[in-house]
Amino acid sequence: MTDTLQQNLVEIHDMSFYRGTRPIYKNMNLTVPKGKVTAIMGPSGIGKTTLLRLIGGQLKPQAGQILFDGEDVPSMTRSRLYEVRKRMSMLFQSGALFTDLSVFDNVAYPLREHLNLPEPVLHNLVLMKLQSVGLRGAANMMPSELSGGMARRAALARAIALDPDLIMFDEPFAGQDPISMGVIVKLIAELNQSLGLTCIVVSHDVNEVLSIADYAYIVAEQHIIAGGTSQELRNNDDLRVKQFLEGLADGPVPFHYPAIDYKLDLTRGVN
Amino acid sequence: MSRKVEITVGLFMVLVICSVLFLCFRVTDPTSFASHNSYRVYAVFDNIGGLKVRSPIKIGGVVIGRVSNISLKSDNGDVYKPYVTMDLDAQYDKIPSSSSLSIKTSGLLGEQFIDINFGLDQNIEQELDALDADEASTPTNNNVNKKPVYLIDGYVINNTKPAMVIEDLIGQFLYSAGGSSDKDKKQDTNESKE
Amino acid sequence: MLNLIAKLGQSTINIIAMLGRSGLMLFGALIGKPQFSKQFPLLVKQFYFVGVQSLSIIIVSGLFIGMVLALQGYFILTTFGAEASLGMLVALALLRELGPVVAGLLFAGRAGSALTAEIGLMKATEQLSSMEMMAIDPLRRIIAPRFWAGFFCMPFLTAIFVAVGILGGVLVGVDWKGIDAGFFWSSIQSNVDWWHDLGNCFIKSFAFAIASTWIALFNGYDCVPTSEGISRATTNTVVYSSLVILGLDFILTALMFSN
Repeated sequence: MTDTLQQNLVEIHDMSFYRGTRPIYKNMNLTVPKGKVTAIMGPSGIGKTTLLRLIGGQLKPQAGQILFDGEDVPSMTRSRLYEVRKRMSMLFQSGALFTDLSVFDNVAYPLREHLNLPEPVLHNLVLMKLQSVGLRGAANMMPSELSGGMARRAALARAIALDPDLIMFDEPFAGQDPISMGVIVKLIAELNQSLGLTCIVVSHDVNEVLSIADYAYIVAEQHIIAGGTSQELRNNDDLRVKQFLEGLADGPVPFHYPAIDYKLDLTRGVN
Repeated sequence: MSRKVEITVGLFMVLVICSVLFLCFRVTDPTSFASHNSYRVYAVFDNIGGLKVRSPIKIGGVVIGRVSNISLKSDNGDVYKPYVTMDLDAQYDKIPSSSSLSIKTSGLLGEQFIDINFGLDQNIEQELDALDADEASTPTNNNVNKKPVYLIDGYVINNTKPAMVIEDLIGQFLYSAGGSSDKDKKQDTNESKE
Repeated sequence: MLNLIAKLGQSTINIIAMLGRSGLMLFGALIGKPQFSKQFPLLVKQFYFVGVQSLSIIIVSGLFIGMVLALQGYFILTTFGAEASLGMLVALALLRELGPVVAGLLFAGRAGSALTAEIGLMKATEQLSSMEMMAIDPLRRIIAPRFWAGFFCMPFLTAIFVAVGILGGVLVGVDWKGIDAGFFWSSIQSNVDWWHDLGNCFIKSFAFAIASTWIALFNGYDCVPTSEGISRATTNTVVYSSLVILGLDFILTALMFSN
């Protein structure tokens, strides 16, 4: 048992989550090993972001356990949750930089809130974080002046400001040009290798994700349908996995949204 | 940016303070707050007319206090009579207790106020006593001594004149012009009013 | 018919749930030990956004309302030959009703809608979520300073509004229509009461401040995080705040001046 605690930073056991009466996850199981990049893939609208929020404790599942470093996140007290959250951070799809603060102040924000550092130390620390994402030169810019890729890198610098154990990336590649996509892929890989950060990457950009992920899961139909290294996934025979990885228009996920018979629908217009 | 914000907020606060000071010292009468000490006197009237809470109390036209409460009270099982509580400014503490109160109207249609008419003050009273010292009997003297010389907190004034109600005056005029049988009616209306 | 009743019940439950959420929001924002060193700079910043930026509209409308009040009052009072009471009319009207109410409505339109839009945008761009994930409570860092700023700024703005309005009345009554300045001021001073008029003016103003700031913050915090949701929340803020201010004003007036 202690061994698994050492190995897995996040474990999800039999977790079910409903939004209203609609099930998002049913009896879902997932493990995220420490120090590795774990990818979670799946079609849009399947609740991948929801999964990250569940791990972060922003949402509570109706059943099951979500363990972060051996502690059950949903049953934590509020103050404990806030303690634990200092060890995890999340990179949001939009970057979520504070629009009224400069890039420097954005990165400094969590440091100022949680650590009482003297200003010179803080200054150097922030510049180091910005240097690591290549944005030291943009320290005094406002978020509105940044391009989408730069905003995401600035947000990444902010996310690693407190040296967390876990970073959750929510669609880090969505809407990026190939260059900034490459930059982010490189940054994730670097962070993982040099700092030993555990990363969870949620995405549907198959190739980019599989190029950095040590282990990948595919989510569909409210649970994990496949998991493995990128090679294992590519060799998976499951039609659903094949459709997703290869981007086929029709397959187990039908091209047509469920509807009544086409002919019948057309003839209704005649009458 | 931050410096600019601080300075403008500072200016804003200065403006706020100026406005509050303006409201406190120019719009309201500062002396009304400074001399807030007051003492409370009661009076029993037959009819208070249009007197209201916060109506002024004046001596010779100068406001020295305000009515703080009006209620009905019956002493010793008497009929109910208007019972007026008045807060008088503490600096005017030399009002003879023998003063009489009357309710008057400022202008023809203006608001009503209580006017204090000085009674005889004690020195004069003593002089009068001295004048007819022969007739003065000890019990009356004792009575005078029991009463405080000036109005003090909790004093009840019974020497009052009721408000003049214009309808009554007009009515009186009309009735006196008419027959004597109307006078009974007038009596009735008066009683029903009370 | 049954459907109608079911809908009515549903919306009642929704309204009660909304009240509950707004109460929880305010509770979460205001409870907890204050950290002055961190919160004071935030408060100053919000004073700037909420107070200073509403200043121009407050001063301009205060001036014009005071002037028009004096002008209308003058026309009416001259027919009775009672121009000397003009000061009292302007001052009492502003202190008792127009000051708190109009300043409140302007505040709801200017600062309230801005607060809603700002917080709604923060929610839509996941700034609130990311703050939570940074282990920083957005209620304490975002909602609380804005609430306090609104709570204090509205009475402040009301004071400025009334002061400027009275000066506007002086401008019209004394400088233009030639009422004697002594009459004007003495009629104000002898009729405005410390507690009854000035005190009640501020009580009203604080009540409106709580209501409209609360509504503005809650609408932003609870909005649907899309551009459509934000615009609807902003509209709701102005509509609800105005209605609540007018309703509260009636209740407070009835309580304060009934005697």
